[in-house]
Amino acid sequence: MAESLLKIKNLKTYYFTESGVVKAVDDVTLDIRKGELLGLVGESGSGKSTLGLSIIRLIPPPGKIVNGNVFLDNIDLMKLSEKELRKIRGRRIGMIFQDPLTCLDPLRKIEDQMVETVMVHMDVERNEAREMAAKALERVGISGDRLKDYPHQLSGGMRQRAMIAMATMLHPELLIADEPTTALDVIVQSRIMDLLADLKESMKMSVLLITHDLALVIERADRVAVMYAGELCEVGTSEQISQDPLHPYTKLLLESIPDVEAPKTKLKSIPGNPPDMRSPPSGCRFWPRCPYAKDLCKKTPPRFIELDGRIVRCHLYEEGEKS
Amino acid sequence: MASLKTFIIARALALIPTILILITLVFFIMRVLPGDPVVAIVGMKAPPERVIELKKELGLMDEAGNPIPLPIQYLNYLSKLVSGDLGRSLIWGKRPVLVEIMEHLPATIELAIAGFIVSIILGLVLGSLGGWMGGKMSSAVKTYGAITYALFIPWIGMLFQLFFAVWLGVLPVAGRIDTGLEPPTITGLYLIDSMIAGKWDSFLSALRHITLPALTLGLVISGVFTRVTRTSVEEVMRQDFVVAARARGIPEHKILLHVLKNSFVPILTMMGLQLALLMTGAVLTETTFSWPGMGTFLLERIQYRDYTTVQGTVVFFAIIVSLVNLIVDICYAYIDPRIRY
Repeated sequence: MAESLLKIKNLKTYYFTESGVVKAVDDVTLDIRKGELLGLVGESGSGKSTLGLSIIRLIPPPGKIVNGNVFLDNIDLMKLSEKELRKIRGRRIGMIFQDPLTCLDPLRKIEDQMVETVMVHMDVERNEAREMAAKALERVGISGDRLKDYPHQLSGGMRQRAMIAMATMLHPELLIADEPTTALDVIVQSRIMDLLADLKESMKMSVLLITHDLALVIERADRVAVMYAGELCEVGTSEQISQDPLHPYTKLLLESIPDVEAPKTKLKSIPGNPPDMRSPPSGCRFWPRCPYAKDLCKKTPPRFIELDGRIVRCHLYEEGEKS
Repeated sequence: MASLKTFIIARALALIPTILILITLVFFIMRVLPGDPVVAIVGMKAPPERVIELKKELGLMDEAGNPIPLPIQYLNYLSKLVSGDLGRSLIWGKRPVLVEIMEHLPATIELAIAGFIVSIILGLVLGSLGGWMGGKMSSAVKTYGAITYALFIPWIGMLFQLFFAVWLGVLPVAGRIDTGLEPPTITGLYLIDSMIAGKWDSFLSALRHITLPALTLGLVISGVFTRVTRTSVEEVMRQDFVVAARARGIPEHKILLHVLKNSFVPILTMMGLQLALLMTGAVLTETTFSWPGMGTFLLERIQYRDYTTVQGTVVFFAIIVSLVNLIVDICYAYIDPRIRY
């Protein structure tokens, strides 16, 4: 098993809104290994994006990281000063977002934004920074003379490539990709995923791919973590998750992926809605929608159980652990 | 994608029809308005010779005493305008309107620019502070904006006069400059003319005189700017690119520059509106500080029913406002590469 790059321990990020406390990330413990592509899957509002932003402490108010540690090597990112953390953001950990148009400053040329990033982190001349920017663009398949363009002059796919170039320009060890392909069409989506896979290999970088698209993650990721209502349900390799899902939520998610080759059937969905995060259900947060729910599930929250090298959090497997 | 240059040329050309429409509107509105200007000036019981004489002066009758049809009047008016003739005053010794405007305009421009600078500095600094820091600072700036905007100029002006001029005696109460210190006219702006002439006592006097009116005007207008700046900065701060820039490790002071540039378009709009408004004369400020500018001038002529002067001045301002708009539009395009229509 590969070594861990990033260790998230008991992370809790809450939003203190006027109508109550939203526990968007509640006690999440997760490892990201060196050189792996880890898919983080969940419905909208499951806290997956909050988890991504929490890693580099960019939670907007009224959100707050209330507890937990995030170790990069042996540095706890939660204990660093803003200044120390800034040296890590963009340099050791890069991040890309869903909508590349709104994530680039519309009034500055691509070049200016890339050069600015280089010069913040490295003591280089402007010319050298410009060359690095051109190289980074070419690495993602955009010709260097597009540096002079403004974001609105690039197509959607190119913008995401430019974002990726910007985030990976300084060879980060970890790239957090928050729904990087959601705003793009399927063909561009697949090319962007190919690009991420290439960069991951050539730069020996780890990727945390945050998405709601389980099918995409199973196809592309080495390991998959499934999140529901602020908590992790299950972590395993893509194969384990797709062939032999343990958690009932993962099972239902898998069943809801439409099969293009199957005869026309009604699209399956998971009954019920995600809980109101200001007052989540007691016990296991999934019990109101779970077909296997027992009385125990309504009262006691399940613990993490390691089972055949994978992790699951469900009462169904707690007995198996004892025996 | 059009270049900035072609954009500017196209935008400048579009100014011609705009101004023509403005002039036409002013011309016809003045003639459609109820009330006969001739009667208003000479009175109901005036002898007919005097009425005919005045009608000739106003271009309503030809030399032979026949009424000129409206379309011909319009064309005559246009051809005069093209040669820079805005007509002549009906009262003040029949002086050309343009000459009279030029006598009062520099004072207005000087005060407008000084007040504008004060308001911009106050507005941008406080507004971005409020928008950037949020929370209590934002509320404080909001309150500042509401209070200053609601200030009544003569009241705050007189408070300043009382405090700085009467009690402390450090600044003059009113006027533009101490008599006898007027610099030779080059631009008509005393501060600039005295600098060009190297007359530093004149410069100091002009500066001391403009301080209180500029502060008064600037303070009141700054309310509008703090408001626009604060809301605009707050809005831009919520945009994704701010988070994305932070995620790249860009330090806060550099992010502020990104935010300010992106917040600037609505601020610029407000700047254009306020500047155009100021150019027409800050009537209240000018009256409070006996400032001999366009505001006082126009108010006086309206009271005396000096129709030609009022009409000429309105046309003149229409042109100025269009020019300010043109400059604002060019600034938009310069700041935001997406604006090229």
